[in-house]
Amino acid sequence: MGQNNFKELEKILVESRSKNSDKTKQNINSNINFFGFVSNIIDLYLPKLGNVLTSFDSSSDNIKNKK
Amino acid sequence: MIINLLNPIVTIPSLKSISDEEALEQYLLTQNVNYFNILYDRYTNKVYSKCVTMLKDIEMAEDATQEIFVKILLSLSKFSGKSKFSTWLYSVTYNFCIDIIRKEKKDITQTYGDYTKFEIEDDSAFDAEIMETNVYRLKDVMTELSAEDNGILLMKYQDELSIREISEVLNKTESAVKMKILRAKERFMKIYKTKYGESVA
Repeated sequence: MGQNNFKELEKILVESRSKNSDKTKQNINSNINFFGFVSNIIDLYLPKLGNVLTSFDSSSDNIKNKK
Repeated sequence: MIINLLNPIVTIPSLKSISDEEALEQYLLTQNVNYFNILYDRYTNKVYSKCVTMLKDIEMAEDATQEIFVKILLSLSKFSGKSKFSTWLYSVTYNFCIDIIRKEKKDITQTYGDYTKFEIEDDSAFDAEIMETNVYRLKDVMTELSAEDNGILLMKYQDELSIREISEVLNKTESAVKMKILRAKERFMKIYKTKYGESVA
């Protein structure tokens, strides 16, 4: 098969790409870190929140029973 | 500081030899940014060049590249592994660009009433001639083509996806894809002939 100039076109477009690509990578990494941070917070506090809600529920049951 | 502590950067041996699917699996297991960066480094230029060709705007293409990778990041768990990672990425890229164009109310499917009539009967005809088109003329003709046609031609000639893979990307039947390729090629030939007064062949 002969030359594929669609691949050449891709090279030309990429060569003309500005330094913004580094900035784009940094932004994506910041996003990854942010999502990781949020998911860690959720992992850390969601079970505790669940426990708090459960204890509220059980204490309200106790109050009803006492009445 | 907290962020860095929560996501320590660990050096990964033999990064280049790792496959896309392995990098993906390792990223999902470890949440180590370096694994995602492997995929970014491999595909960022491909995604960017597709965005430039389809959106016809350098700044929009750079923004779109970023958004596509964030979108990929957020939907990694949805990737079933039935197709290759690259095919899935091209699918997200193609659909993302089409969505942007729809929002911008630009033409996705243009009519080419002013152009010379050109009909191709065989779906594999003129493949070599189109691929060998002078690169600057190719760029010129593609700026006239619609985003949809550009996307299809890029998948066929630049990424060398099979008809089956393109049908997965577009979520269409293989015969519908063949017809779309045929029509895109016809429009490419029409524009070329009108612009340069000669056919590609």
